[in-house]
Amino acid sequence: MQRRDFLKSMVATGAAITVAGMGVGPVVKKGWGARKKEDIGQCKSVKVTCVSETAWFDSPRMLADIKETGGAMVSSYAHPWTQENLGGYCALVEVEQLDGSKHTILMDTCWRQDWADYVFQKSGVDTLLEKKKIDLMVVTHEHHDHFWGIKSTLKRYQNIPMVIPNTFYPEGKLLLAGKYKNDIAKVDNDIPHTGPLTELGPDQFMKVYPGVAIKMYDLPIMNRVRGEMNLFFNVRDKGLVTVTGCCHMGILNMLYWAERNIEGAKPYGAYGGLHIAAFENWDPKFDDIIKGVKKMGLEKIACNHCTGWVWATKARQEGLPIVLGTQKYKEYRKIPTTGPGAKENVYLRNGDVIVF
Amino acid sequence: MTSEPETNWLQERKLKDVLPQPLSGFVSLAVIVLLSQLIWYFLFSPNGYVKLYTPNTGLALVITILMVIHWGMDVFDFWPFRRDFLRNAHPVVKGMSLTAFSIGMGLFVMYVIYENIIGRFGAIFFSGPRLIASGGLGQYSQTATENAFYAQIMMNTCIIFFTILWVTSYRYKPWQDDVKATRAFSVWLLGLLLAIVAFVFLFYPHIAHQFYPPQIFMAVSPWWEQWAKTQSSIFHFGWIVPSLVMLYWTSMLWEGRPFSLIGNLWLRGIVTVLSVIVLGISFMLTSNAVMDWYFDSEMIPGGMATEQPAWRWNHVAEIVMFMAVAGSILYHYFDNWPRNPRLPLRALTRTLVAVGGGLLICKLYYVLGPIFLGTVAGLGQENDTSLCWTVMFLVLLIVHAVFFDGYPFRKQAK
Repeated sequence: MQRRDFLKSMVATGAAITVAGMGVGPVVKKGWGARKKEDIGQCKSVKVTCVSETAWFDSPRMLADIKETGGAMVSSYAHPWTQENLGGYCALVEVEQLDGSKHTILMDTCWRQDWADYVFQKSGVDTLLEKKKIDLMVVTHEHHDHFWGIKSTLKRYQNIPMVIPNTFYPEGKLLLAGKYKNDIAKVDNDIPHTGPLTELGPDQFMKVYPGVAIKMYDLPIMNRVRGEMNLFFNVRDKGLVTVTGCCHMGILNMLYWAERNIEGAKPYGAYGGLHIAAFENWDPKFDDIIKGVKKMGLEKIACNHCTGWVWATKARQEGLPIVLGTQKYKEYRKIPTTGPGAKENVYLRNGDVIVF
Repeated sequence: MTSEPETNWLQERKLKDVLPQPLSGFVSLAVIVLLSQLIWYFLFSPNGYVKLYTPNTGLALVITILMVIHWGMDVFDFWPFRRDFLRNAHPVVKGMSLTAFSIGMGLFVMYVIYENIIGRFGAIFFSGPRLIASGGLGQYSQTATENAFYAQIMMNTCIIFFTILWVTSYRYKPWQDDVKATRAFSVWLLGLLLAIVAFVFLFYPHIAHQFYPPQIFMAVSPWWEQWAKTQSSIFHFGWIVPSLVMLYWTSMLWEGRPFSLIGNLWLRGIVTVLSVIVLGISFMLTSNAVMDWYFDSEMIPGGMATEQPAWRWNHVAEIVMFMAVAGSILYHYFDNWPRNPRLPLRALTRTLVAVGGGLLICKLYYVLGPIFLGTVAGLGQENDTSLCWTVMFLVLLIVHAVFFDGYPFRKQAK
């Protein structure tokens, strides 16, 4: 298979060089530039339920899986992941409009299907899906821990309206189409998505409901993934709230983009993974982020997942408004190795709820 | 070594093209491009077999081999290989021998010196396995290994910079009257000493703050933050690498000028040091301004992707290394074209070719990388770097042109 790929790549040489010679524009469409600011309206409140933030339970095991298959540049579809270590990321977002009506958005759909089934049942998402009470599903990016549990969603609500980045690789598209099975990475889905599908590009900005918008960023991400999206909410009398999956684009990039492009954007809150010290390792660059976020004036930071427990701890020590979670996650059938025993729960963990 | 002739082997060696120029250059380039693709696929590519592009494992390997090659060429004059062997051995035998020696020495430096001597009995941060064995928070496989190779990469960069700086500026002074062994080992040790001093000031504070909690009794907080907009020591990499390339170009493209016009060797050295550092910093700042324009955004302190200051400074090094590759192609494969005009015009033309060629290779890398190299389309991936490919290509180029005498497209002139 690999040899065939290589030969195919050699055959493609002529065509690719021709394309390059013709002066193809920047590989990444920028989409960062200042333009006429968008008015996304306002909503009354946003409630986020952490369905699951535990993509994996043991960071050393996760890193060993990555290392043993060749590191962070290798495609996630090529890794033989240790199955008993896997969970997934998923959040339920409920928006209350100014007129009192409500919209429900499911962000991401976990990794292992049995974990997705379990946390869906724990949080009531299973019933919401079966009764088609979820208005929209947003798959933030193609990473395994956010997307590979798609079958658990589709078997309950096959035609759920969905938004994905327009940068999915062929494997991801086949998975969504119910035509993919991979025995190495152990991912499969035979239930095709049949509902409306929006593939959002980097130059597009999707206003979903009053006060709710989706932005896509075209950027390369570890384990051969490309592009990520986040949700913006403009909450009346409070300000801008971001809800993210992994936030590989960076919390500060995202907030600066909002300041440049969303009318009246005033940072107020953030929920989700921030992809900083994802594996509890440290780097001086992470201190830069603490200083930068301090300047943004956020009032509530409810972080978890790939933010890094160590970053959340240090950020709270240095005065950032890190929202503390409860002990509810300990009621789940599996708990992560990082966090239990610490003086404070600096993550919003499984089963926790926050209202902005 | 003492019985060896006084003339450097590369000064003595005279090569001639088998094919007329520029055909010879283009054919050599085509072969090395093909070879680089094969080696990349089998050794480095995420879609290949060995998968060294983690990326720091692969980058540390090629930079260490480049360092060993420089030691051999510029300091030790190919010792322990004898001049008779260099003159008379078939280019393939000679090339294989020198290459095997360099790779072997490179692996010895990485896995014996750094990982199992220094990392085991001294500075643990040079050894991934020892960091993992420490059991500390975050010291897991992949991250610990990458961090250890980062320290090796920065140390090796300092060593290459100071070693080449000394031989370019001062040759073997003040040991020029000693026997070859004495002066070679003296310059080699001096390069190591200067590199260690530079590493302590420029990179050690980063290393000490790369752990949680920070090792505050081991080093000061990164003191460069107000200029760099980041606490990451990649900032220094962003000016050292362009300065190093300016040194390359001084010797190769500018034929020693303008510094060789200064008669006093000590003064020449001081002027060279200051000039290449100023040129390196100027290149870094100019490149960042160009990136502000290209990305339509200034860097964001604490930002990520293409707005991350650390990524910007690393990308400066990436850009200049594309230019170094282009300059080396011109020098080794195209007889350092042009040869006829007066030196200022020659140097200017070569520099323009290196800059323009570098930008072209850069463009090709990012357009073709996802097809041939297994990279993800786009710029700004966390911890990703094009340096692994550029340094590998540079190593292959030097190995072919110097160790193999450019065989089979060049041969020694009798």
